[in-house]
Amino acid sequence: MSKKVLAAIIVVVVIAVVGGLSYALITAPPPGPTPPPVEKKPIKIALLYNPAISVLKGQGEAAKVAIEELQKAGGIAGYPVEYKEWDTQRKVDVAVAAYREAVVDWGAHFVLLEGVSEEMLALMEEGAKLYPKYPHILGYVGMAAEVTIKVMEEYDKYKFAFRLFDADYTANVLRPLAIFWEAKNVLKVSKIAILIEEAAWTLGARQGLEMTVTLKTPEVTKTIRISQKPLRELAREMGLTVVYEANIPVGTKEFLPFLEGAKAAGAEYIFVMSSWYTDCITLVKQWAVSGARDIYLELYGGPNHWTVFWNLTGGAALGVISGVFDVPDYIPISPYTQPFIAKMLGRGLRVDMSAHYYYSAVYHFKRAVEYVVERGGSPFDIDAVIKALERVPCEEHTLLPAEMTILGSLDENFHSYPACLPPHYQFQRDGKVVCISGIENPFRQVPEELARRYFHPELVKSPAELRAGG
Amino acid sequence: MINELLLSLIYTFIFGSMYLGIALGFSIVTGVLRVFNLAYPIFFLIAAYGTWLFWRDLNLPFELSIALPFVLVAVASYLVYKFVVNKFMEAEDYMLAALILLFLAVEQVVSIVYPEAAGVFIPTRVIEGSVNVGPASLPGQYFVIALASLIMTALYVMFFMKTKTGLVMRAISQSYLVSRIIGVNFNLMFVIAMILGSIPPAVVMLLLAPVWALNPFIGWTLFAYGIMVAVLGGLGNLKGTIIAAYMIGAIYSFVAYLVNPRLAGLACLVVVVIILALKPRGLARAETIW
Repeated sequence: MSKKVLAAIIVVVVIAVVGGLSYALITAPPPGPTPPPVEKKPIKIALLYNPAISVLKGQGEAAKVAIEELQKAGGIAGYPVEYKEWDTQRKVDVAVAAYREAVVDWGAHFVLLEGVSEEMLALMEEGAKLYPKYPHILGYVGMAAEVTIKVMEEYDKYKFAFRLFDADYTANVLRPLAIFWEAKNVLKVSKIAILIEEAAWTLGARQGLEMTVTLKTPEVTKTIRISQKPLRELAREMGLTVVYEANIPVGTKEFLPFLEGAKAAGAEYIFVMSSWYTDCITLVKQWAVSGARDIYLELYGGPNHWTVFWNLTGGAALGVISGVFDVPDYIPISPYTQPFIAKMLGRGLRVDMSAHYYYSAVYHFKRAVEYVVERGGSPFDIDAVIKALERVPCEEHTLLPAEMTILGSLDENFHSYPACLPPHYQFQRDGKVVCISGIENPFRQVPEELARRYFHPELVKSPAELRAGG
Repeated sequence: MINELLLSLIYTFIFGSMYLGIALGFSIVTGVLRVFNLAYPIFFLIAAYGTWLFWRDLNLPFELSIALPFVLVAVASYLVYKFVVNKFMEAEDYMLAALILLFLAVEQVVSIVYPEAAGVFIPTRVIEGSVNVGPASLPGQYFVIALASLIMTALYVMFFMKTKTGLVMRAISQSYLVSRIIGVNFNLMFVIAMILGSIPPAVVMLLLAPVWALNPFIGWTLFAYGIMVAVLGGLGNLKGTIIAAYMIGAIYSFVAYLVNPRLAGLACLVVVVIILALKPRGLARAETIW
């Protein structure tokens, strides 16, 4: 190729390139600002509780801890999470007003209520009216059989309501059975006294409960029998002799007649079916100076769920047995259990059983939303989220194994969890809290390997031994 | 049955004396000033939480921490008199409203500063464990409370009977107008009566702490016992207060130990209602403090 031809080709190529680029520049749209990324609508969680009462504040704070963790992790399935709190003052009318404001004005997708069962029942009625226009999910951690039974019998009306706790009529059978097993096999007692808080939630424990409920969902119609035997019968079935039984009036400050009665009847063990309504602190202080102080005392619910119960009683709790839920080395039922307790204690907050459930409830909501989004749905398709909540387990639950967290099981626990059977602890010298549960307890829910590591039934001591310096 | 009877008698003494101790200060103020002191429960709270404040927050010795709240209750009594009672002496409805609001405000402050989870406790146990009386084993601390209540009552009765100041106070309680004519220094007498009335609730609270739960709302619970006893006894009459305290103690104990402990509280209220229906001014006529 001659030099002239080569030069002509180069000139043509240069002209073509320059011309092409010039054309492209002329015809290209002018450069502008980068379009903003589409902001996702936030998932809104409303917290309804009474922050003026220590224990309720702890429960509200537990839910906030979970939400803040989700916020730090980038939200749920890529959607930001927002929360807002309302003070219900634990009053039905205030709670209903707060609920309306949260759902209608603020647009809450999830509402978590801490309150008495009367509040939840009132909110369910209000929610049934709101749901068609303002779909949302209402979660509640608490008692009252009606909450679950309403959902079972009128699913279409109340499907948005979940009791993110165990159904009292099953828990109040299984938990006492587990407790009585411990009394018989760990404490080695045979004659027991039963004191029952005289409140609505203990009706089944006092009188028993028998009913038939028809579960009606769009897919299933099923008849379910709900049965709860009174405590005295459960104890007898366990081979224990009930030598004394009494109902404790709510608000009483004088427990001595009950304690003296148990002692006079020859009881070796006193089981108190208590909650926060019973003044367990006064009860324990009076037990510690009464003639019944050598009798084992076991408390069900109340401030005895906190390790600080030791201080609250001024050390009178020496020897008292109870579920305790803020022990730093609590049995790690999930990887979240101990870190949750540490976070709460780090914030100066106490953890009772319900606080664990409020924290876990937020994670269960998260799992349900993720389940919907993973299948191409929207987190704001509340009907789909309800179905997901009925289907997906909560692997982050701090007190229940994941397989126990299905909320849609077609039995008496529908829209509730099955009974949680927590291990038992004893307050020993200097407030040390020791897990005394029996490894062989057939009601135990933790894997055997964990039970062997954390349960120490051999460390149980009688109150007299402990007072003597044991 | 013998055991239950014995227990009922012993607890009549224990509960009766305790109720007397709780109601004593309230009766004194009602008797001398003729004022229904609805701020009375703040003295329970100041005694309990004041001790905790000095002992645990300010790290003072425990004995001093128990003593200092008595200064606080005396100051509080003076302030209540100066800024509420004296100010609204001629407008009783305003006074009652102000007194109850004052109590509620103090209760709220305590519940914010020392919520239940703060773990407030006061180790004022004088007798550890229980005391054996015949076949019964009884809480020693309750005997201390009963004894302290009786001693305080005896001292106050002697004060009213044997001292000149007590005589003047009895005169005021009998006739406000005549006392005025003879030139009694009302302000001084009223302040003394308010301070005297604030001591029994503080003492009872400190002694009750080892056997009752301490929480910011305990004031009202104790006050309810105090009102029941004082009203049944005839407002402001110490003799009536003593009789009423032991009567309620007896009803509570006998029903609790011989019938059913669940019914003890109800039985007391029923008897109080029946007696007040028959004797609206209580067991003793409330024309004088003694």
